[in-house]
Amino acid sequence: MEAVAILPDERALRSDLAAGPFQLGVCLGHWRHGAIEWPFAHIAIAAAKRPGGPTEWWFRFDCAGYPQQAPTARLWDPETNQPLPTPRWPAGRSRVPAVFRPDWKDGTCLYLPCDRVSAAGHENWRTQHPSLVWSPARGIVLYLAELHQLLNSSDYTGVRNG
Amino acid sequence: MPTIQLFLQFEGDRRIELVPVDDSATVGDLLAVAARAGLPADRLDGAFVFAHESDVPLTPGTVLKAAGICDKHRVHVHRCRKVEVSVHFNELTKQFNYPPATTVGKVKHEFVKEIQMSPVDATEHVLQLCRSTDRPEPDIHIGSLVCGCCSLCFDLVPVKRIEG
Repeated sequence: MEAVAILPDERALRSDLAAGPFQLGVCLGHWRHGAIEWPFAHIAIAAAKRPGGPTEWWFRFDCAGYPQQAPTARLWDPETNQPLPTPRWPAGRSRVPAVFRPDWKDGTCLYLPCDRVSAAGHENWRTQHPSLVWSPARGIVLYLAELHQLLNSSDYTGVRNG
Repeated sequence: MPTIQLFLQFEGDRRIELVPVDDSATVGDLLAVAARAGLPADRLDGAFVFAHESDVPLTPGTVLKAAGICDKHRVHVHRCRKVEVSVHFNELTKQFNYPPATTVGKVKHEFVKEIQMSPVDATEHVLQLCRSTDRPEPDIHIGSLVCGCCSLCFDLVPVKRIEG
């Protein structure tokens, strides 16, 4: 049988998923991870109860180059293993729709300073949102904590067409 | 010997370490684990062990299990028995005294309750360390934010919409 070598970025992500900050979030019911099909990792984030809304939202994170490079994430449908159709995206009053934008990069990433794709060309975010700028030391929990905060805020109202 | 895993935090360090300890470990054993996990010697001398959100430290020699500390519980090692916390919002300032194993989230919860901010508005604000842009995550123990002193200062600030 042929041994499969794990690349350094995958090893780093798997190590962070097993470490204290991520596992504490699992214990607190904030998030959990599903399949890892490198460079993709599927992670569900728990959401506040809203009429017609799910208890958790699934995301597919592209973690190539982790942790030196930030991940980039998109909403995902675990049933079909496809991107989540726009009408089923999270809805909100102000901050939530500013992050989940189908008009930004065709909905392939989230409009957040810690997202690799969105951060490119947004140097202003370094001063406007310093706490959300990607940090290899904080790792994927930085991104997950922000999503958890958003999906449990009063701004979040459930599903777009819910 | 059976082992359990504990979430360990300590003075002046934001790391959350998931550490294995013997089922029969004592407070002293946990201090040794903290030292191996990176707690510097000068912060070990005179340090207490706190169970998560517990008001008083565990008595030295106590077996963790006997004190109700089980698998995946949280513990904190710190030299302060209490941390004096000031929180500011506009013209309002409130002061609290909390054990180091109190979370940032609990401090915020108590503060917004004191100033009678609605729960809806509260989710649109976060605690930020004074004179910084640093917004510690709500699950962090406040003891991990202070070292060499027993006081801490926060501002309650609005969460900004991502634009631009």
